Parts: sequence; structure tokens; C-alpha cells
Amino acid sequence: MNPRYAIEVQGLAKTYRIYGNPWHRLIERMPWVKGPMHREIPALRDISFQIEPGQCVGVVGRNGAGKSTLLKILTGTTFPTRGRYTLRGRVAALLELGAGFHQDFTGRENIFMNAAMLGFSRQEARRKFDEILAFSELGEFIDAPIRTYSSGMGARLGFSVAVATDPDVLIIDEILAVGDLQFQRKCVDKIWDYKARGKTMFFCSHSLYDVRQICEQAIWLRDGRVQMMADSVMVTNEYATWETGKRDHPDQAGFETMPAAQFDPKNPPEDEHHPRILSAQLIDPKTGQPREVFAPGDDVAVRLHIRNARKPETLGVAIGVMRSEGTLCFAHQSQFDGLQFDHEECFVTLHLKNLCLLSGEFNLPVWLLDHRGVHRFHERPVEQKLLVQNRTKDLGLFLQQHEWQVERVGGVRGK
Amino acid sequence: MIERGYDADTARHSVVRALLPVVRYPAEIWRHRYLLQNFFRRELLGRFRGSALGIVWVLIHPVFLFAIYYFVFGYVFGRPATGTAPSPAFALYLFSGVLAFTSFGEGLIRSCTCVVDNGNLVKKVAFPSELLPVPPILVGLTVYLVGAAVCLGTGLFYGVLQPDWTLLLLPVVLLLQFLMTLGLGLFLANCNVFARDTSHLWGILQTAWMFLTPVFWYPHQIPGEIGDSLRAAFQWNPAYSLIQAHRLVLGARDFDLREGETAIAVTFGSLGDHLLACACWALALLALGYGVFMSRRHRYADLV
Repeated sequence: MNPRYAIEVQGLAKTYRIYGNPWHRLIERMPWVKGPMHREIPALRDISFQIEPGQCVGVVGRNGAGKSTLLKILTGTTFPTRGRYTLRGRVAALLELGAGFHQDFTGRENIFMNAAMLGFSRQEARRKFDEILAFSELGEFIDAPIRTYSSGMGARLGFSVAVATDPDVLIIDEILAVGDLQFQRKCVDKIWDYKARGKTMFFCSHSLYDVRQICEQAIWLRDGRVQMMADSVMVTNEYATWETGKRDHPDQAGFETMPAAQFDPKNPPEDEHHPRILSAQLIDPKTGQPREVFAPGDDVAVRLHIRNARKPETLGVAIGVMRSEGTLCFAHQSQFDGLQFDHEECFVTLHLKNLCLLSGEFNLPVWLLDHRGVHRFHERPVEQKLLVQNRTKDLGLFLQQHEWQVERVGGVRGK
Repeated sequence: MIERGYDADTARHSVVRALLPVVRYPAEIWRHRYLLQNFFRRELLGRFRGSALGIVWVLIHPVFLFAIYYFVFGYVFGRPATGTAPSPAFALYLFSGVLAFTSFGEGLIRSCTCVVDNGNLVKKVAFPSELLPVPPILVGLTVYLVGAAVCLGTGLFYGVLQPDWTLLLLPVVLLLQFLMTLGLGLFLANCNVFARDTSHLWGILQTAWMFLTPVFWYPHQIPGEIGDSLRAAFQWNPAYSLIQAHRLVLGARDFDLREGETAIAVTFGSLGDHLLACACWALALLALGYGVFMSRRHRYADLV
């Protein structure tokens, strides 16, 4: 194996054997028993890839494609049936946060316990304790038994202990949804900090948006095989295309490629000073007044009122246009077009010139993002629905610029 | 640079191959002492947290067992013919036996279920599962120490126990008991992962084992030729050597059991022989348990 790589996987396969009865496992081995007494379920068939140090690689795929099995093998909790893997450097796994917590013990006791399981010495754990406590923001709850914690608090504590190990290789499973919104922000920052310091990351997520934003490379797992490994934008696009073709419920289509909703937009964050979208209006750019009904060819604008009473921060927005049945027609993110802002309060307007959508009812979700486009501060729909009414007889979803042409072949008929 | 990996194609899961690293096992335990210490605390306190009497419960179990056996074997099956009450010597013989066997058996039962009980550690955290039986066994030994202090105090009061310098060998006996329990415990824990019936079956077998071990009877009581052959067979009972070693270290000395006119000589044998036997058992059981456990360990996460 080549020591150049941080993670190296070769021909990895994992097959689960399902027995009807635990004794079948023993009976099956008896010489007089013919044929196996189990069913085999292949979770991974043949996985090979290499990851260089400092790379951030995302894993995408449907449920049951083998993502979690692969992660579990790499973290060392389960073992492959065939093949081999090597990890170089100190590894930390951010999955099953707080799995080793004992419910009857206090947060403080569990920190020391968990730290010991992650390979800390007692001195190291003592040294890191304050850092862990500060990061977890548990305050005086640290001396209360874990069973009195909310699930968010437990996950926060687990995350705090895990990141305190300062690993070289970080294995992450859907980590961006830990605790409340503010804590999620800290997690994202922490992960970005790792990335900036050139640590290797192996990241598994259902959010194609996150994979694209955070990772340079991505692996698409399908039925226990690597379907594709390449640049993350390419892989997520290929996967999204395939997934859309496969999907049984069209009302979900396209959503995963956008930032996933992380809280009910009807319940905005309690913190008044949190960056938020005060209003989102669909307006007629000529009059500046709210308007709902448009026709193809009209100019449309979306006007957002944004306030950030907290510390100054560079923000961006994303606006999507989604048909009522859930098809995402298009979405624009301000950072992609080079727009960011850091005002305390401002209006941001997106001009959609010469609307090319055809008849239909459209919802417009809006996201307020941090400067990297990863953390979502606020999400809400535009107050009006966009209703497009055709004046022509054109059919379909949108109006493609087009012209007709006829070229005559041969002589004049009838002469 | 730390390197960690696994190669399923070269990994051989034979018991003999898995057995060889047993020489590194003590170092492994030492390296994780901080973790084990935490687990030990959790095991000891976790068992009694929320109960009013707390740590006192650890002693109540052996004392209660002792009280029952004392009544049944001292009065009911005792020497009602002679009309004498059971002697303090018998009481302490019984108490020391019960203490030693319950701490041994407690360790075994706990380690039998340790992998299954800590399923979320085995399944979700890359955890060295071969360490799991260590804390419950240490708890069993701690309980024994408390009981042994009580036993020693009473023995000195009645003048039955005459401890001398061999009391200093108590740590050696405890170490041997630890290794024996660990070896057998690892084996049982492995079996219990594959078939949960093991823990139930073992509960029954262990009760039988206790009755076959001279905990509340004297080997010399068995009369006739059959007695001689049975006494020879007892030498092969690992718990026999262990319990006698415990009694000798606490200061039990050979005495005569008077039963009317006849006197039966109760002897405990030589401490050196018992320790040697225990050491042999400890090595054999540890090799067996560790080999079996480590050769199957890679499959536990999928089974618990």
C-alpha cells in the first residue's frame, strides 16, 4: 500500500449473513449438514479508492447503497469480509455521537469516560476539559446526569469531545444537524477550520448541496459499488440526474440539491439578533409593488429585507423557483454570482428579466446563508406565490428561445 | 504516523494465531488503565446509584447467602444428634468459601454478558472489546476484599483464624483469581454473543459448580473408598484450589472436627500446591478464552 495516501481502500466487500436461528450458525458447520442455512446480504461488493491527505471527499448514494457500512468499516467498528483498508494519522469519527454515554452519570463524568475511550490519557483529558466544556455550551448542566439532557445537548457534548481529539482524518456522518441553529454554525465553522488546516475529511451526507459546498471530490455509491468518483460537482450532478429519473415520488425531486431546510420557517430563531430575512416579496420591478400574476416575457423581481443585528458578518442569499409539485426549475445563489454583503440591514433584490417560465404555480424558497454558503441562518418562502399565465398557446414548463425554418427540397409540386 | 487498517484477505481467524498476542494482553490492560478505571467506577457506582443503601449492597448478598447456608447446613443437616451448635470454625469455613466463590462467580456471570450488555460500545465505537470483562471482575474482587476484612476480623475474635506472613500472598491469590475469571469470562462472553442461551445455561452450571466445590462441606466428610477417589477428582476442580488458597491465606489452619466420639481431621493442603494449581489453571483458561475471543472478535459488531 502506498504511504502517500491518507485513506486507502482496496477491493473492500462486506456480506452480512442472516440466520433464522442463532443455533443454525453452529449446526451449519456440522459435516452432515448440506448447503448453507443462511441468506447472504451483500452491503458492499467491491470498493476501491484512495484519498490524499488534505482532501475532503463526500459520499453520496441512496439509503442502503452501503454508505454507513463503509463508514463503520473505516472507523473500525465492523470488519470487512474481503479486501483491505489503511488509514494514516489520528482518526476521529463523528458518527453516533455520544454512543458511549452512561445515562446515570453527569456530563462531567461522561466527558472523562468518553475521552478515555477516544484514547486520551488522564492528563490530556484534564487539559482539554475546559475547552470541551466551553465548546459544548452546557454550562452548569455539566454536573447534571445525562438522562436529564435533551437529545440536542447530548449530541453537543458528543461532538465537543470528538473534535477535541484534533484528528488528522475526520470521518463524518450527517454532522451538520447537531443541536440548535447556533451550535450548527459552530460545527460548520469547526469543520471548515479542519479543512483550512489541511486535514483529511471523509464526509457522508444526503445533502448534495453540502457535499458540493464542502468537498472537492465525491464518491457515488450504488448497490455496494463505486459508481463514480470524481470532482464533487460532477458526481452530485450525475447522481441527481440518475436519482430524479429513478424517483417514485416526484414531489421530492430537486430538493436535496438545495440547502436542506433545518427548521420550520414558521418558527424563526428566537434570538432577535440572529441574521434573518424580515420579509420576502415578489414584486413588479417597474412599480416596486407586490404582484403575483405574471406572463412569460415579463420582468420579475424578488425583494428581500434582511437584518443582522448581531456582529457584522458576510452573508449571502439563495432563491429557488419551484413548481407546486416540487420540481426545482432553477435556483440562484448570490455567492455564485459574486455577491455578498455585510450590512446591518439591507434590501437585496433579485431581478429575473424576461421570465421564460410557462403557465403554472411556483413557490419561491429563500435561504439566508453564511459567506461560504454552507450554514443556513434562516429559510422562508416568498410571501406571494408566482402565478404565470400564458398568453400564447405554448406548452411545457418554460419558453425556450426558438425560431422555425423550412427548406424546400426538390422542384415545385404539380409542375 | 499512526497507521490503522485491516486486511480481510490475510487476516486468519484461527484460535491458535489469535492466542499468541496474549503476551501483549497485560500491556494492553495497563495501557488502557485510565479507561478501565473509569469503567470500574461506572460499574461499581452505576450498580448502586439511586439505591438508599448504596455500596452496602455489595456485602449484603454474600452475608445473606452465608446466613442461609449456616442455618441449613449448620442446624438442619448439621449435628442435631450431638446437640451441639455449629462451631465458629464451621461458620468461618463457610463464610470464607461463600465469599470466595461468589466473587469468582459474580465475575464470571458479569463477564459472560459483558459484550452483549455493552452492545452500543461494540457496535458504534471502535472499542477494544477484550477489555470489557476486566471492570466487572475487578468489582467482584473489591467486594471480596471488603468481605475478607470482615471475615478476618471475626476469625481473629474467635481465635479460629491464625493469619501469618502468608496474608501477604493475598494479592497473588487475587491476581490468579483475576486471570482465571478473565480467561473463562472471555470464553463465555464469546459464546454468549453467538447464542444468548449461554448466560442462562451458565447460571445453572455455576450453581452446580458451587455445590461440587467444598464451599459448605468438608472433603474429608465423604466416607469410604468413594471418598478417596472423589477427593482425588476434586484436585481437578479449579475452584477447589482457588477457595482453599483463599482460606489458607486468610489464616485457616487444619483442625479436628469432633462428632461425638470420632474426630475428622480437616486439612486445607499446602498453599504452594494450591497456588501452583491456580497458576496452571489461570494460564490455560486465559489462553483458551483469549484465543477464542480474539479469533471471533471481528464478528461481534454484527451480532450484538
